[in-house]
Amino acid sequence: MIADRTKLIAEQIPRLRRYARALTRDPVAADDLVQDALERAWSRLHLWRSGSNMRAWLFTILHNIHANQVRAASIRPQLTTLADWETTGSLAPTQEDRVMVRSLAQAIDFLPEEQRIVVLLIGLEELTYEEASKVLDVPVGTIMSRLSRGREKLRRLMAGSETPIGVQKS
Amino acid sequence: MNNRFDDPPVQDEELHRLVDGRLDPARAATVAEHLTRSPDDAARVEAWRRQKAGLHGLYDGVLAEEIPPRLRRASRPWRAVGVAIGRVAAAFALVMIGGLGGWMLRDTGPLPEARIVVEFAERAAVAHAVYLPEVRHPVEVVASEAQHLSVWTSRRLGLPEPIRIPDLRSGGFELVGGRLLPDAQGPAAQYMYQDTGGRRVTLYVKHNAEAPAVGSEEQERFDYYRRGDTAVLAWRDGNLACAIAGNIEKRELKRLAHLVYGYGGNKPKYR
Repeated sequence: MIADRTKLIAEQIPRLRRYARALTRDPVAADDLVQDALERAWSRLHLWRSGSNMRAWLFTILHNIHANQVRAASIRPQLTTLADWETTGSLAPTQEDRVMVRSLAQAIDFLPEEQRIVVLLIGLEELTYEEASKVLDVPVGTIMSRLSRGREKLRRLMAGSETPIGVQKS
Repeated sequence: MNNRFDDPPVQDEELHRLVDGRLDPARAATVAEHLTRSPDDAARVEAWRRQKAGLHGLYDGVLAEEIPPRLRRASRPWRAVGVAIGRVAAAFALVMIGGLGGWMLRDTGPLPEARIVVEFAERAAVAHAVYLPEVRHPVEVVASEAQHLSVWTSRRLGLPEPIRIPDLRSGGFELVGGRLLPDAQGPAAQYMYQDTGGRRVTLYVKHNAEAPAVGSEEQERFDYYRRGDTAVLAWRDGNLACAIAGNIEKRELKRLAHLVYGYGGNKPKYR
């Protein structure tokens, strides 16, 4: 039985890593997150009902750890390197005096966290709306509205019709 | 425009379902027809499809990467099994072979099983687990006698001067007290703290006479270890070996470790 579960968990590692990478955009932090999730999964395996959705369960654990880390980080000053500033940027005004987002990778950074998470869970990890609802512990309707707002904001950012910081120069 | 009165109008949600391949097949024709009549919606659907393809383009490469060894190890059950063996057995094992190992930990990844039990952090974790649930006798000397606790434990540890027991109140944890414990080559002191929610962390300290008198800068870092629900951060501070253990988030533990480390006026640092 342990062997079965070991296999079920191991099968999910590549996808957990992909999601964590997209979420943190930092390969080391992403693998830290996955490692924490795997370790917690083992310590709580007795809570997993046999035959239930292992993928959704593991994503739930990973999501909760990440949410706690984000909360903890938000009350601490963060150091950032000069390089980070530069990549977040392309903040030079364009001819239209508007801040443009050039790539999807950049644009997704400007989504509010709750929308970004849903866009990634549905769009990248291809979770069903119901699975995402379980993972985030919110109703399916909330998933749909976050997905809708997230995708629309991304579309406008990519089209240049919305500025990432919501300010236009006069 | 809709000439089929019994067909409800197409909702935004259905456009997302279309993009995600989760549209009710009975509605597929209606939605497709709607898109031919609404260039705006067609453009949105197209943009969302490009977003999805773009995300896969950005991150699908991760799927093909080799899984790092530390994640392969973390996905195996031996640590869960280790917990099941029981704390008493583990404690005996420590007494039997504890003398063989040094206290330094390596990196964040788990070490080969055979060596785990000789690690300092493991002993701190076991000591933590043993006294964590204790209601009547969590400590030998209570916090109101902190000065005595300091003098007594320092003398028994063989320290040249009394240790200043760290104040973790700014981290939300209050000193409960402390006790003396047998460690691998002599005594160790355990100081217990508790927050208002009843959560406990323990600081495990030992005199590390073998440590070089002056450690290089690089040696002063925290090492992370996990045993079941118990997380441990261990480090060396001059001639002290320290480990803080708690069933709390690694980040919160790190914050407390910083407080301990900074207590002697040292500059906290870790990788």
